[in-house]
Amino acid sequence: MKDSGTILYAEDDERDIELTMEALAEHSLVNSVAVVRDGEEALDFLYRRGAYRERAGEDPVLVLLDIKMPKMDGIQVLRQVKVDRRLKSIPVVMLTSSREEKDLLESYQLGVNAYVVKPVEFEKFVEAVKQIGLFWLLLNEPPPRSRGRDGES
Amino acid sequence: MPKKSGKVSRSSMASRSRKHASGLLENGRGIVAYRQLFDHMNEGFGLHEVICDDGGKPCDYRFLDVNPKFEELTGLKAGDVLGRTVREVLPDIDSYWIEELGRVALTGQPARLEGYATPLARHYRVSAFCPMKGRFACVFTDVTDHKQLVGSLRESQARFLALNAELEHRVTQRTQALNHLNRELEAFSYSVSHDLRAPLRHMMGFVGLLERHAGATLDDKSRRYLGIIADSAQRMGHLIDDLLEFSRRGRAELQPTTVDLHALVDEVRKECLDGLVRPPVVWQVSALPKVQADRSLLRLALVNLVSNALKFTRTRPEAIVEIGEVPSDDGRAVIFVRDNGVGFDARYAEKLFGVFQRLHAPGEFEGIGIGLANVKRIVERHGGRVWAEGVVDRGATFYLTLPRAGEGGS
Repeated sequence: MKDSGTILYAEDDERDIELTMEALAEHSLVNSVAVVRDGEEALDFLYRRGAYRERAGEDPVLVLLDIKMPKMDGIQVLRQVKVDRRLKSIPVVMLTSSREEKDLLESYQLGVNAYVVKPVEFEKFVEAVKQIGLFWLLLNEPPPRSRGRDGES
Repeated sequence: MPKKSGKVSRSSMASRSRKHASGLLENGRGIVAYRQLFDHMNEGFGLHEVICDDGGKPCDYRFLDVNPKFEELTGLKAGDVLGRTVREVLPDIDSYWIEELGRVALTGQPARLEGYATPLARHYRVSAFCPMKGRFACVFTDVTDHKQLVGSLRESQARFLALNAELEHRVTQRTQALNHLNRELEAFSYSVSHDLRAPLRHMMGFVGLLERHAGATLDDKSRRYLGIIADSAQRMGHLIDDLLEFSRRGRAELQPTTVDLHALVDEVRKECLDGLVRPPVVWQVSALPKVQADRSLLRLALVNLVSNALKFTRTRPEAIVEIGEVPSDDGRAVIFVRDNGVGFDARYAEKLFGVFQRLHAPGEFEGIGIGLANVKRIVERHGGRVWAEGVVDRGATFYLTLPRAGEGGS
């Protein structure tokens, strides 16, 4: 398996995190997943701010965003990522509970790369997470790696 | 007075008609005819001489001649007024009249006046002219009734405008309240769709994980319990989805167009038959009209009705589904969908259209009982009506009314 890089996963619900990690682990899809609990923390991670000031390594190869999160929600994170010259080439996938039309529409207008509604059924949930991993980490050819912090400008 | 008038006319003749009038006055018959006109005309007439103060300003006037209509319209008798001044006869007379009429007598400029005579409590419209310097003649009518009418019309209009403004205000308020409610409802269903699904997903997720971890060590009973937990969570997931869908459909804006019902029914039949293992279906579809409706909503209603018909005929050796129009006298199209299925007890016909109402045990026929509630809501949003007829074991018929194309949507 090729080096799949880091996934940034923003999710406030511990149980969802556990289920998603189980599903990812089951298919040994990733070397590392960075889990953050809200949108603000997600941006801190991406911009190497606050607790992530000393973060080493490159930008994540994929950002998984829940929509409803405390402080800053997933849509706000998406908006910021997609207007940033350095960050906007990172694929962003919404992984959320709802298929609310308003969220779907807004996400696509902001340039989301995929929108996945978490299936209620466990097997389907595992399958969905597996498909996301397979597609974005193995099948999809990512943009040339940005050089991280120095890539800005 | 005729003599004086005659002089005036002669001295100021300018037009043919005046020449003609003065001609009339020059012979005895003409004077009689003129006097008759004066006595019988429908307007009041009076000839007056203006009286000025030391400064030369009009301060009173004297009645020189009045006609019978004058007496009628003012309530003053000729015998009481002739030779006397208006201030003597009517001490409270508004100086407006003296000033305006005096001006006509002094300047020779005719005037049209309209005003209220306080001592007489009447409104008059007056045409005043100057037959000779220092005198004025009035032709006048009583417009009191007209004035009152105009006054009450104005009052009604003002009341009407006030009422209208009040109504507009209420409409605005209610619209705001409605918009507010709608936003709240949206926020509510948004929250439901996010927050209610998460715990279900966790229940099913951890049941799944438990099965994986402990599956081998669990006995049949334990596995059955886990299955029930997962099934129930799944069922609740479907309930939430359908409720949200139902609520969304109710809020979506109607987009009525002309819909060819026959073509739509063909489409719906194909959709409902897809992939189902079932007894052979005999379709009896008669001519259907064009209606004015939101196509996608109407489609959903028909899918519900047709799939219901197919569902409840599943136990029959042969399903017969009949779709057609019944004649009606109110100009609306009345459409029916009839089947030879298990039917229902007519006593519960009303219950059929409630949300989550079912007349069959869950194990008997699948479904959660929101389909007909959707049908009802869709038809009612088109200004129509739905009802059902049925007999246990003898089939069911569902009716809906829709506006015909060209009637204009509701």
